[in-house]
Amino acid sequence: MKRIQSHKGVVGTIIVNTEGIPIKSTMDNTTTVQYSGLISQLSDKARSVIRDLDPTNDLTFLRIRSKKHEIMVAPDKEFILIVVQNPID
Amino acid sequence: MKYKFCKVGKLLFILYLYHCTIFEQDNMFTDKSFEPVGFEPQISNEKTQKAANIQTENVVYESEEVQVIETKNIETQTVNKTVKVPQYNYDKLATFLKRVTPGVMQFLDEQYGSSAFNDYNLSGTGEPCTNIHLVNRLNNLVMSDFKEKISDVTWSAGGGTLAVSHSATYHVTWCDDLTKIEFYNLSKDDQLISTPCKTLEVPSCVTSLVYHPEEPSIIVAGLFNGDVLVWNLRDESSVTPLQVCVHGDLVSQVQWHLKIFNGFSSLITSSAEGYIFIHKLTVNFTQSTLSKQYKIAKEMARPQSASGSRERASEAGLPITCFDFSSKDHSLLVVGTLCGGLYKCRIDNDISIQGDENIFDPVVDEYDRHKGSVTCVKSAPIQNLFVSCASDKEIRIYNFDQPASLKVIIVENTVVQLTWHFGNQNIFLAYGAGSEVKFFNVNNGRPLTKMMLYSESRENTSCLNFNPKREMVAIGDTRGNLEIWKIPRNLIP
Repeated sequence: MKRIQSHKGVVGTIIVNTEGIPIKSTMDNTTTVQYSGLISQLSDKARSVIRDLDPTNDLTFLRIRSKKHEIMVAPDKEFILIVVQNPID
Repeated sequence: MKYKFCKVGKLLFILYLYHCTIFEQDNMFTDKSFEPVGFEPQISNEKTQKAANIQTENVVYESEEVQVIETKNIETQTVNKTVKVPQYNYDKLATFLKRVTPGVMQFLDEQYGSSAFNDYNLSGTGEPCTNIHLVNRLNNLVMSDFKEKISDVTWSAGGGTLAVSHSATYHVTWCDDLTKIEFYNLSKDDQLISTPCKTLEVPSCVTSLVYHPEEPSIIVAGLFNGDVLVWNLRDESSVTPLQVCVHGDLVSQVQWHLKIFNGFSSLITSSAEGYIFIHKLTVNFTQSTLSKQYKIAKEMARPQSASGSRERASEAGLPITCFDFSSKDHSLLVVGTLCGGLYKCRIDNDISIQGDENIFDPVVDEYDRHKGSVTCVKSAPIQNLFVSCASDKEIRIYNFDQPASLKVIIVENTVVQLTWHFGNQNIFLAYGAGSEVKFFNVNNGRPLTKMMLYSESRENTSCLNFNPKREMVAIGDTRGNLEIWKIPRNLIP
């Protein structure tokens, strides 16, 4: 996590468990809770979309580009890694 | 007074003593007792006293403080909440991070400093509005023996040129009217130049006119006499069109399709004799090959399973008035007929009609019929829906997979055409008899009363076409009036 956090432009890193509860975070408490809840829901939805399209397929990585940030989501069976990057930092 | 009472007492006492001495002498031998009996004097000498104090009111002292500050203390009862620390397996987390980190670092490296999105602007960030206003109105028609109308309008792929075709409003017999297709340019400030930049002579009334969706110089016209002509406008010297085919009756609709043949454009034409042709255009639109022929057979001859094999090729088909392809399945189309039928068709249906192996029956299912002749069908741009209208003054919304209509909209005037809005895919426009062009929301079937393309000088609206590049719409009517309206991309649904 330190290695990711030390990368240029990285605003914060969060690790969330399957219930959407943050385990580790480099962001403040409010932001962490907000990101954890919303991104875990989105990740679940994206995974279900991929599986509906092709039951043999699975979601491996999710990138969300917004005006301010790029949110990278690495989903797994037990954990979700969320990295928030400011690309123009 | 006191003195008098004392004297009377003394006198009475003396009398008493004298009387006693007499009675002692007289009653010495009598049983009478002469013992004196005392009695209390009835006269009181007690003084009555009255207190005559001065009666005064209690003195009350009141003090008022200036700028009193009121303070309230509210105590809250809190419960000490025990924070649950989620339990997790460190080893699994470490394994997960080891596996994921290289990929994340790679994406971070790629992303940081990338200028891929620098010039990217969201098209939908503007505020939605209903600002619709008229830009141009012109009428270049010279009224001749027969009354002319604007039969169709189409914008070029780049949005800079508008093609306008003309037709007689009513045909008694076969059409041999000489009409024209006019081309108007748009100026830089989105004004239509009133003089046409080009005019094409056409041997018959034009029923359908469509620009190629990608090639700005290619335009196709279906004529009332059954001809389908393709022009290449790039060649200024030559105005001879490519005759794609000749139908046995008027061409009801022409449509380009880019996904049937890989690398080649295909042209689909339908006619009132019941045939649908698919043409393959090759060699830079100079050659046309009839790829496949379909015939909409009569209902009585076709079984419900839509095998179509009972229909004979020599019999006349149902007059096709309109068709449109599904936006999701490129081989699926819905066909409307003059009899009110709506047929679900597939161009990959290989059941040939009896008597001719080259003619296929595309019908796979039938939707609920209209009570009047179907005037238009249009499939939704993104949803699995299509809308249809007919002379029974009904607009129906269908799902491609369901034979029954989802919604039926009753309208006041007959609707002859439907068009989907280019920006908001939930809105479609309906127009026909009357000078109003109405907007409808496909999700609830309700009209959008705030938006309306209305003009007093317009008679019956005959055609309408959007220009997505310039956010404009061209409207033609049965009097030959051509109107250009500015319409925003982001309409409020």
